[in-house]
Amino acid sequence: MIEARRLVKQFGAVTALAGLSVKVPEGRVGLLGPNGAGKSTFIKLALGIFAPSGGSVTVLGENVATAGPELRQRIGYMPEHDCLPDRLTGVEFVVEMAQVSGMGRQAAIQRTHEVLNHLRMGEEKYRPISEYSGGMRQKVKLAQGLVHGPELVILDEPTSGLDPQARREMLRTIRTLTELGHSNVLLSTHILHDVEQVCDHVIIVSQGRLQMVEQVESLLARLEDWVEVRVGEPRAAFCAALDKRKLEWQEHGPALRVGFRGDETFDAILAAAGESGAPLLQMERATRALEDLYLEVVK
Amino acid sequence: MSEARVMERYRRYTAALADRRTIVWGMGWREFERLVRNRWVLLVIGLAWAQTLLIALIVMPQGFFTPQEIHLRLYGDLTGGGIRIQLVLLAAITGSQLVSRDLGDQSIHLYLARPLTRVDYLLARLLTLLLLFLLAALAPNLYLALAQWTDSGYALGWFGDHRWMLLATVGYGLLVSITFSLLALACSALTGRSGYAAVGFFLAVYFPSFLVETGYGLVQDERILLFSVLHLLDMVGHEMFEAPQWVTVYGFFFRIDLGWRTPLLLLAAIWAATASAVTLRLQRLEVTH
Repeated sequence: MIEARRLVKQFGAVTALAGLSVKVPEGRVGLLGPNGAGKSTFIKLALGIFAPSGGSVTVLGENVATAGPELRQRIGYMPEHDCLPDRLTGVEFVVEMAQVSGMGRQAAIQRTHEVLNHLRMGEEKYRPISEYSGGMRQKVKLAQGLVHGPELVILDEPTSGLDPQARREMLRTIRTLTELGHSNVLLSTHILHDVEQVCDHVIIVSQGRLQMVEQVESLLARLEDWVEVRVGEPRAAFCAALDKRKLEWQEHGPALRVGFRGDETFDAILAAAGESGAPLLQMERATRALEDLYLEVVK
Repeated sequence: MSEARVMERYRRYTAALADRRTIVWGMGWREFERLVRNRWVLLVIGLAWAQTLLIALIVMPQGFFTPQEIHLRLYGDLTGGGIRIQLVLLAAITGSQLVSRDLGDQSIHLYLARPLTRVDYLLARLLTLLLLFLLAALAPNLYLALAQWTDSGYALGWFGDHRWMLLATVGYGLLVSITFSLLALACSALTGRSGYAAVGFFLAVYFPSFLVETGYGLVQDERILLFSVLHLLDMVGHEMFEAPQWVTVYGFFFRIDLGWRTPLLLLAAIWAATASAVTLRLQRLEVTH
């Protein structure tokens, strides 16, 4: 879908991208990274809005540097920042953007209504944008990116500034509409949960460099769940009692990590302590969540 | 339509998309349509047309002026019966807000993420202003030409006899339109606020005019008039209509002779400078977002 080769972008003395090489696969892909990681810069280079300081980028099989602006007819873009003209209504603005993408007036009007209806915008679509809530503004921004039926939709922080309910709805809408329209999606965000909800693949960037490309499913499979246990002597007898109950365990400093297989794991640990005579000093469930994994990668 | 059919339509959608030239033309035309629905714009255009009708109905039949002089006067200062002040007002009201508005609400980023280059975007905005000026400046002059033809007894030979004047009418209309449009767009892009842009445009047009007229009054050197865009337009206009060069200084007419080359070169330099300034401003967007 997108391929970057040794992509460099500098703004004066600041290096936003430092030789990023990545193949973004087709499907719904999350571009994850902390603020300032270079996500937005990468997107603008992919759109051809910025010229790279070095390297090259190919989008939908075409080199951005040589393809010309027509390539952007195949791409829908929802920027992060607020960029809506308050003087227009939602419908007027999306129709205008559809026409600026090259659609005829009638087709633009019809498609605008279809997209806004799918986004569950009722009569409010006829109100001036200045009267819209944050959630509605995000919907209009999304609509203008989808209206011309692009092959690739690039969403830059689409849930930014939304309350939890609006965020959930936005993520669901993105997933539904892009599934329906068979669009590829590049979702840039610093929120891990958004990627989990929408994407098949995740790309993690940090400090302008690629840190990881992985399927979300296999990433989730790498997550661990255990019970951290501290016991007194006889510790060996306690470990033998765990083995007898077919519980997986490993040493972790002064503690033991016992694999969590459900609530019955706690009963089994208590029984093992009773049987071995080892006093149970601590028993606490711990997980290595996607968040931890992300933080490790970013560090 | 059932929800299932709506879903199906959404799923199968493939847009038929036009080329860049059509997109640029469409952007320019739609903005023009929006602007001519603005009551203030309509008022200014109405005033220009009302003045044109007065000239056609009252001044022209008296025969004081040659056909060429009538056109020069209509394009010129209010003191000579011209509609220049309306054109300046129109540029200030409309041109000053076009780019600054998109910069102010940041929607320019959405335009530039479409299949448009920065130059395409500028051409679209320029086209809007050109259409507006053609309606406010060129069309009244063409109406005057038509009135001159009907006064001549509908003789078809009149067009042949006055072909240069007709060409000059169209050419000068374009010259004035492009100059004011570019200046207004430059003020709009450089200030980023429509209010500042309007004031900036007035100052860019009238302040140098005031300075050179004062200077001319003091030193009586006609070359000083080359530093004012309004006087440059006057000089080129008189040459185009093959009329002796006259300029107005504080409302009084003065005969000058600076030829057409230098004023035209200076006007071309102003066009190049303003177009470059707007393009550079848009290029700088790269480092702000």
